[in-house]
Amino acid sequence: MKRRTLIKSLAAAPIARSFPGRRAFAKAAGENRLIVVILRGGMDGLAAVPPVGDPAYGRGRDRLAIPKADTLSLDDSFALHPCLANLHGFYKAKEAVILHAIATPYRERSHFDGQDLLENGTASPKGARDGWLARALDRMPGAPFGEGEAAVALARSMPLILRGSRAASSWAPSAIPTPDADFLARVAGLYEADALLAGALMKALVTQEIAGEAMADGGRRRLRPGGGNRRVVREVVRTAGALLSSEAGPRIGVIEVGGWDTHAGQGGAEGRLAKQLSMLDDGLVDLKAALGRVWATTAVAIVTEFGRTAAQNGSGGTDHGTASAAVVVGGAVNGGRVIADWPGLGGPDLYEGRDLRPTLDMRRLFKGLLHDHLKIPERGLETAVFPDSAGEPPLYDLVKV
Amino acid sequence: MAALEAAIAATRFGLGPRPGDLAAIGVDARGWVHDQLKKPDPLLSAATDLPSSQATLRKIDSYRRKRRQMRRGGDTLAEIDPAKVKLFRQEARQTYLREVDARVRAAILTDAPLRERMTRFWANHFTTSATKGVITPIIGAFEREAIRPRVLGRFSDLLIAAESHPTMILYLDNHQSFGPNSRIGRRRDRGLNENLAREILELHTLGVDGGYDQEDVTSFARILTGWTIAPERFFPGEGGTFKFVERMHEPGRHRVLGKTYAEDGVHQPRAVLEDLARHPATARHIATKLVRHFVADDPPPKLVAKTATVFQETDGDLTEVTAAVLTAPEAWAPQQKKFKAPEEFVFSALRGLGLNSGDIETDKILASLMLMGQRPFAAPSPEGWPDEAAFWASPDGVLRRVEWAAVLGDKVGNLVNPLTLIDGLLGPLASRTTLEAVRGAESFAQGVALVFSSSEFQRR
Repeated sequence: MKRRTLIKSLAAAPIARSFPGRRAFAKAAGENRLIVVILRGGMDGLAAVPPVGDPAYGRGRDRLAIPKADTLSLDDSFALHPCLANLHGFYKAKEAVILHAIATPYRERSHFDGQDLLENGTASPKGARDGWLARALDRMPGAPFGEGEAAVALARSMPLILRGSRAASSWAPSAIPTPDADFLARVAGLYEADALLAGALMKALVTQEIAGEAMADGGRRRLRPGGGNRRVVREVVRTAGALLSSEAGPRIGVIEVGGWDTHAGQGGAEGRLAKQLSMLDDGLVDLKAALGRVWATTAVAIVTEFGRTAAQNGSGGTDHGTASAAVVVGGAVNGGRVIADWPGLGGPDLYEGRDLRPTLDMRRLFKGLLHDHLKIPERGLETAVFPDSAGEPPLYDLVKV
Repeated sequence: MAALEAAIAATRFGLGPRPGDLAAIGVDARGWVHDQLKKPDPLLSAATDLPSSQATLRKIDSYRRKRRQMRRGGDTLAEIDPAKVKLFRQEARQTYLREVDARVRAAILTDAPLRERMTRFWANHFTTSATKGVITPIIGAFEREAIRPRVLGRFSDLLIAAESHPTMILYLDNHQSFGPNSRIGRRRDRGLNENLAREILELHTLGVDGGYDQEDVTSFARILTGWTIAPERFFPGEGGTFKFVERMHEPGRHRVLGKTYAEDGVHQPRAVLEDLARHPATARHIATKLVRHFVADDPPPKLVAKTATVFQETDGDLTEVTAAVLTAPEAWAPQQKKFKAPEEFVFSALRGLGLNSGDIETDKILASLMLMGQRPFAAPSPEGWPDEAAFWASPDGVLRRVEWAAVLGDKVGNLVNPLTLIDGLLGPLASRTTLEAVRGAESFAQGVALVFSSSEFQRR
């Protein structure tokens, strides 16, 4: 049996009754691509996008602050970390928007709760067991989509942001040979009464099929263990680009990058955080290359669960804070702008006397992209995708409409 | 019914049966669980040549001191023999691999699998992770020294042992936390690091909704200052051990959760930990996690409440608390609600094949676990590995297991009769569909692969 036939036969099984065939999907979902990059661990927005125009910037951060002369200027008030040269290029080319003093509604300081809230789209960590992007999938023009068709998480396990939708799949490179289609069909038979496993296997095979079509080596290059974070990110970004640029592939991708929890030895223009930022910056160029012509219809949102303290701590790092910075970059982006209602870093301006005060709700960024870029009607955004968020309207015009 | 209970006991409360185990458990599965709770951990009495955390930390310390001396002597870092740096790194990696090997062997060979499960459960509760490089060579020692001896003892003892172990202190940065008014803090302008305090409250005791606030975290962090690892040059003979260093400690009385703790040096944090261990929120938090681990991702609230009560009434006696979960009717329901984590999946497969000591290829097992997303001793965050199907049963995760099962089938297929295998592994848990599929397999290899791919085998 050929793999394509296998997937077709799986699609005919009860678990995938509504699987519409991928050509139909590509037409219905439109051409626009959205990629959400989650920086796990709390990225220090004050280091990535230093507010060089604020006289209080650098206070309490002597070892971490970057001198203005070493930064990459955005406007009179803000600049980019020297390791973000590629992002700076996108900004100059009007393909990047930088947002600052942005935060989810979360006001405590736990990574896990902070990430839950960032991904579940409610105002509390246990507010929903599925993700806002999963709920959005069901409201996209052309929905409902079949198993694993509309979105892919480049991860070994499904992140909360995409949990709960049949239309989402996950994918990570593998070194094990793929078993033959006959065996897989038998396994699918074993899962007849197990919806969880049946759905998961189905999605994986569909995604693998698309990755195989899109990449010359079938997406099965060997990912060596211990190759380091940078290598893994590179691989993930290339796969994401291949999947999303395929005509029949998913339109939405989620990428996770860890390593941002810089409690100790954070560094300034060089050092631990600088390495992270440069890895991210290189990833953007790789992503653009891998997306090819669909870069023009792509928006990438780069977000984190919270920022870090305005002052450095006792171990040359920063602790969990509140507001941070976010980036929207891509060929579809209406860029070359900084969006920030700057609260200031002077003592009384800080949130609880220690963190950058949030002045922009992260849900406005997400809602703006879902509305303008993925054409999701505003009413569903306020109630189902981001419950009780009518007070935080979409941030319009982040993309060229 | 008895056969079904034997299969449930071995899979749900153990690490999966080895050949003959189901028959050996026989008609008295509940008696087997009882025996398992009383059985001593064979690894505790076995001789080990693995280095203690102290020995490893002393080596690291002396290596760093040498490096510092060389730098002071005018050598730049570039002049330090790169071969020596490499050798040092290799040794750290070797120690990690030996620890992985010991842990893999324990899982596949032990006849006290419930104890092994508890060791893994508590090591995951008190996560320290090799994702932080410096921890890599002492992470196995943490499990051996702080966790393994106490998994069926008193919770407060386990808590204090875990939080004061050098690996935990390094992992959560307490060696870099200085009381702002301590002698060193004032002289060197160093300050607090709240990491350990926060994770103890949020993850190890009360839980995130346990009713503490930022003030409690900061105040507890002040109390914890001074809990560190002894550097050999200041404490000759004690290097690499846990040490209370008064010069780092924030002096004075501090309030946590409404109670004031008097200045008492090393004992001040202990007093807080003792109180946290007895807090009702801790009992609830631990009960929830235990029930989730053994019974269902959505833990039945009644069983959680009952378990929490036992926790409080027995002052955190973990034998009693564990027994409360394992003797509950909910824990014996025939439906397999839990999806195995990759380690459980791999180890139960290799136990099922009856692997002996000489057959174990740790490097291959390590590579398999990494591919399935669970590198040993390397949980992604202090929260530990998630204990939910929603995390592990991802499309990629499930496909990797099916692929792995196929490779394993090819490898052993000619030697193993899949029908004997499934009988010894799943007993009455095997469904008719699965049995028919295995009977209809085109080869022994395919049959074995189907057994390991089956829904019943992936769950427990």
